[in-house]
Amino acid sequence: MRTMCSYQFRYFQLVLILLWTSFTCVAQGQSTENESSIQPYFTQLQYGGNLGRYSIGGGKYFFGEKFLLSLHYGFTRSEIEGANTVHSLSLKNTFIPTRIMLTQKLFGAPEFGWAISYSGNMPLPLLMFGGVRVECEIDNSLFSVIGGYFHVGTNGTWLSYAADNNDVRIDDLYNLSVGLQFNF
Amino acid sequence: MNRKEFARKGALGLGALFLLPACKKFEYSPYENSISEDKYKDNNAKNLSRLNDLGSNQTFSFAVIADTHNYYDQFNDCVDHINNNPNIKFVIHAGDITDRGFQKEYLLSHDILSRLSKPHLCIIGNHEYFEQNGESLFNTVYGDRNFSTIVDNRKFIFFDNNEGDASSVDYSWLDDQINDGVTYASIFVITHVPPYSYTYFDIDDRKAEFERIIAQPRVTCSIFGHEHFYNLDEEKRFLQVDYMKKRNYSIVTAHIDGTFSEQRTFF
Repeated sequence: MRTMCSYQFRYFQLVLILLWTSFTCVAQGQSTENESSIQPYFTQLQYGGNLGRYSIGGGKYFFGEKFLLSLHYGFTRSEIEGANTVHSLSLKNTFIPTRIMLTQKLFGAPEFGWAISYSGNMPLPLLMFGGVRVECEIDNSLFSVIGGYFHVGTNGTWLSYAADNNDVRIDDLYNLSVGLQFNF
Repeated sequence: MNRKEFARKGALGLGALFLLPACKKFEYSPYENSISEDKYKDNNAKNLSRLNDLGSNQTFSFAVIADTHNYYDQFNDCVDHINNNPNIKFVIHAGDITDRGFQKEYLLSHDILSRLSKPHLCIIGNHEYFEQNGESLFNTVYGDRNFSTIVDNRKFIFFDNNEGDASSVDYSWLDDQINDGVTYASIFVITHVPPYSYTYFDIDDRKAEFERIIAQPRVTCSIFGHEHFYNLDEEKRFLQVDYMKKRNYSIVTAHIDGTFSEQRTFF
């Protein structure tokens, strides 16, 4: 039977709140013109993480390079007969609480965040992730920084299954993703 | 780090990217169908071949479960309960194996079903159609949406009647399967949706056609899921199987004289 469960309604409310906070961050970033002019734009290429087999996105730093907001297009082509290629559009937020200098131009940082992904379906999956990144400053290049990241993530829907079932193991829930980032 | 060293490490990193698809923990999309492992493919066909090895019994019993959705704890307990009953020869899942038709749900459910020590056959439910690759995932994991088999001179017809979700519901196929010109001790029709479901609301002609076909005297019993309650209508020979959350399933016994009996079983 098909019913609108209460948890689905709460889930939808949560997605709306997270969307609102994202756009609030964007609005605050735009209000400080001097600050935004020195904060770099970036592009990311990601593999996995439920944004698509491959995804490409672009975004901008806010709040002193601690908060990244990006929009990603991802696709997952299926080689199985009859299966559709999945196209998705995702809004991704990443928080970098601190950076650690490894060498003069190499930095490491922990990071975590969440994303909402739209693939023509409702409700939108809420993706959560945490991981580490490495950034390398580049001189005399098209890019000011080249970096890579590694995430361990999950999906809010999978977590709801774990909450309802003792037999759903943590091994069933997590996924991995890796990505490259280029700051302009 | 100088440029040469950076280039060398970058090349190593890019090379490692080519190894990524080998790791199964990289999920691409909740809606993907990327099942490649043989153990997850064509499971109805594999289990049909196991059914042929059952041997010749005079009277045998089979279990019917339905609407397991994401009640994985109850589903696991149910599998244990069925495994401990030596009288059950095989198991039928009457649809709604998943809650949304996600690949993740298919894999989780299959891992539980594969713990069954007996053959098991699955039909597609309306929930399998919810997401964009739900139907193709069913085709990958289980196979055809309509199929039939004969076990010790009893015919079992599995039919997709998810009106509004399935691309087509072919009632003439069901009619032909029932009236195939062969005499059986009994015929069981298994569909996910019963004719009294809201699914048939406002499509009276198709509801009447379905009711006419399964009302034929050749049909011993029609078995349904979908409604999340239990009922046995002996007059119409309808068995409505409860959903997994209520921790019960049905054991149907096919007698050699062509009759059947049913026992609701709690675990």
